[in-house]
Amino acid sequence: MARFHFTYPTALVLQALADGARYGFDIADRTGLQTGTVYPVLRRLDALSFVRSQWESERTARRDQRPARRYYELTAAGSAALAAAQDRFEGLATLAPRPRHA
Amino acid sequence: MLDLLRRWLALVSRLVPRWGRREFRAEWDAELTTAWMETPREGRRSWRASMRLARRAAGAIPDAWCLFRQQWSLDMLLQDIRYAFRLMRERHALTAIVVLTLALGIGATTAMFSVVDGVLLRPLPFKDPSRLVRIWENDRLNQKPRYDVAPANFADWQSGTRTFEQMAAFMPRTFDLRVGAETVHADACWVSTNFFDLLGVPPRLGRTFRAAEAIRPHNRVLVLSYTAWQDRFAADPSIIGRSVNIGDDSYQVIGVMPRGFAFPSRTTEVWWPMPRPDALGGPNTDLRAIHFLNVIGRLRPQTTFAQAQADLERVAVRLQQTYPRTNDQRGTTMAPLRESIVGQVRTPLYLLAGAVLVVLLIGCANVANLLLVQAGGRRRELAVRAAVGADRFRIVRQLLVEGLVLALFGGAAGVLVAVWMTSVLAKVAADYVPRITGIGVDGRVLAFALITSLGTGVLFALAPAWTSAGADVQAGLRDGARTGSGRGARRLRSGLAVAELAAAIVLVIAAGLVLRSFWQILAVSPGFAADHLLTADASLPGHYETAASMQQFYATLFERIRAVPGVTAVGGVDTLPMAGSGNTTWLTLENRPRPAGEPPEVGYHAATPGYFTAMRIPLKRGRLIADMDTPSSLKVAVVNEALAARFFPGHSPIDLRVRIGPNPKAPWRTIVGVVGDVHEQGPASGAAPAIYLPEAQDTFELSLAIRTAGDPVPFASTLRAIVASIDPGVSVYHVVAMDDVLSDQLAPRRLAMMLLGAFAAVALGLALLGIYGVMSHVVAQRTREIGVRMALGAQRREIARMVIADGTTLAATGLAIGIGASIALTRTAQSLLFNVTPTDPATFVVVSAGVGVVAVMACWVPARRAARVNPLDAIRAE
Repeated sequence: MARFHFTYPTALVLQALADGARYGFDIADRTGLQTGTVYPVLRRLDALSFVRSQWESERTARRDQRPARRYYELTAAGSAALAAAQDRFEGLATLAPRPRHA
Repeated sequence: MLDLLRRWLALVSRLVPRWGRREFRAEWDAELTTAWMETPREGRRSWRASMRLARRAAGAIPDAWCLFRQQWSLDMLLQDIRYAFRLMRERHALTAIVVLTLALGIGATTAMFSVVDGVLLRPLPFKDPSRLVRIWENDRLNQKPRYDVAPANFADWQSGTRTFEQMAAFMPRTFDLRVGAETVHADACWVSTNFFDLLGVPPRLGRTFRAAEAIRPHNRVLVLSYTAWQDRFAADPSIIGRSVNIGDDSYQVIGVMPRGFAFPSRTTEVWWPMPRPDALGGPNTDLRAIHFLNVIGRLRPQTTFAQAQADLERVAVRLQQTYPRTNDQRGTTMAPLRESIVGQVRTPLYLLAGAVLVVLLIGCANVANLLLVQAGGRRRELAVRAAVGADRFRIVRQLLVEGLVLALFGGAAGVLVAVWMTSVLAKVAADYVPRITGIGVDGRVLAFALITSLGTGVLFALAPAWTSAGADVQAGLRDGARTGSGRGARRLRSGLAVAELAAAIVLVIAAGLVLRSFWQILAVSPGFAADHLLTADASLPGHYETAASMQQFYATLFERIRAVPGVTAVGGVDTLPMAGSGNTTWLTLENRPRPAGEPPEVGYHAATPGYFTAMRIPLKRGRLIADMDTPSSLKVAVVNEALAARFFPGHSPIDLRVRIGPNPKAPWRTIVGVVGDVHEQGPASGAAPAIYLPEAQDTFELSLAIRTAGDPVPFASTLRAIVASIDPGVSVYHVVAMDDVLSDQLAPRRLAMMLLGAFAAVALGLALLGIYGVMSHVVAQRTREIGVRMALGAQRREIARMVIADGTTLAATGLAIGIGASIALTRTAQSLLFNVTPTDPATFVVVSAGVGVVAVMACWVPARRAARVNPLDAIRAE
């Protein structure tokens, strides 16, 4: 893996995805980060192939009466990166803010 | 609210590159819609929830910005660069032409920049050079604003001014250095003892002068230049304290200046101390009436130039009042030292730099034209890329990257060209352009080359990028099969060709004016016959103290020279034409006032009887100086026509009497003859009034003029042998044919003319290539149309005429714009012109007609190709 320097928000986003967050606003809720922080982090992780994304099926979306969402998940490289991030930011897994609900 | 959010997204998404825009909007739309659906509509929490939603929606901006920036990521740039390299390999012929054009353009521009930078822009290599000034007397009576300074005036300036830290005087001289048995003649400078201190340059070895060394016998010391130390003394490390023989005297070396110290001249090899001003000249010399010092000054810190000037002028006015006889109407002139050194070459250098820049721009236009053709061929490729989602920005960026890569290659090759050109220029122009020997390609110059390359890259890539970006995708796909380009691109190409031709014409006209000036100068007779004439200087050692002993030497010398077969005449004069500023004197007329407004100062020469014959200066009236004019005979003088016309208008000056110099007790001299005018300062300057005295009645060290039947140059060795046989202590130097002196005089003009001519030729060549390219391309594109016309009965001749008419329209437009621009611009070249007005009709007509004919010829090949189109093939081709 290429040497990579994570910022703390990046580590938080990775951790949130590992914890099961799947879409942008969900990640923002779980980490307490602004959407303006979360999305650029996701774009960078995407460019690095640490996350991959796919669109929700139209059917599911129609059932919930809302537009289709874009779902993100960690790739293998992303998981490895998270492990490295956890080494760097001790207690990341436990320190992640609890999800807040709107 | 949801509607508002969607409008907001639509706005923000414009920032996102086209390929990601739809997904960006879908993703944010889904998130915001869902979040909005979950937001309570009523109650206390609704307001806070709405605010929260708005805050989240604001996050779309950083996201869009992030996506926008991703297209500038290194990865994608590398991809573009790789693609550009691949294209360059594929189109190697085009690449070679482009890189070569740019290499020449950028190279020449960079070389000119290094000249302008090294000569004009860089500060002088002295301490605090901005505070250094050059000071002259301003002789208003004789209209000479930069007159050498009289020692007594210099002393009064030094003591009377308050705004100067110090002032120093110097006087360039020559000297005979004895190294072993050999005598070398070289340039030196006599300087006041504070000279080096004022300039603030410490010596490399030893020390510079002390104040006490202005006084005998302590003044037998000298400082060597770095070059003299290297060349004459083999860089002897123990040179300090060594004795050196100059003429008959022995001097002690006390210092060596660092390399690159070249003041007042790059040829100065030795500096030695000048006596204090009051000790200059003999016991009866009026130290305010002889003018021979050059003066420099250093302003006090915090003093402005204007303050110092006012201070100096105040002292000058006081001197005018105290010494009216010598200082009447004598003010001062002051200029920054740098200005005084390089002021003369500023205009020509900037002009040449401008010319080079025009050549570069024309080169850019040509390259842009080539790339446009090629972009036309690539139109389909670009259209395909646009269709599969590459947005306009992406395509423009790709083209810009291609342009920059090409330009950087051109720039790198251009630096090599610049290195070569600067070294050639520094050698060729060393004698005419001050400071040029120090130029070279350094960090600043490299930075300039880089910026120029990037600039040109953007410039020529812009045209194809612009037309490609505007290209309609569907049209591109539809008619992309033809290697055609749209009408916009065609118009742009024609515009570029017209602009190139217009710019080239400005240069060609400027070059034509300078060339015509040069012919005009060559047509001016200098007032003597320069062919078959050898000139030389001889310096007499100190034991020729009396006039009689000098005359004895010259009499013997001339007698022996005349005895040599092949010598037809020989004469001597104090200063030969074009050998320096020469001497001047004041003229007083007997029993008549000086004509109103006529300056009293005239050129002054001491000549031997043979001088006029040797030089072929024609006698106009009366007689020449003759052997019967001896120290004890009647005091006589010969004047030139300019003097006769201005001081004795309307009648003959023969037998009238004049007095020479300011001394009222000097004897009257009878004018016995009038001779033709000589252009003493070269053919480009006019002939000033001058008076000639018999050398027998006013003895000077002489320069020799020897007229030979054949080639004068081989006579040089005979001359040296004759001098050595009379007195081996006399050194002979500056032995040159007058033809060469005359040619050297014109060398700076010739150099400027040749450079400008070369630039103009290249510019014109490129411009014609541009027109040819446009016309060929037009013909290629219109092949089908031409075929149809022929099928319908058009004659081949008519087709050719049609193409030539198109080309002529382009050429005529370029010509018209070029002539208009020339009328506005050529006056900046005024200082390079001689007897030619900046809007000289002859030059304009000849250049326009010539360029017009050549431009039409450039269309000839495409026209013939058009006429040979086979209508069947042309129509079937598509």
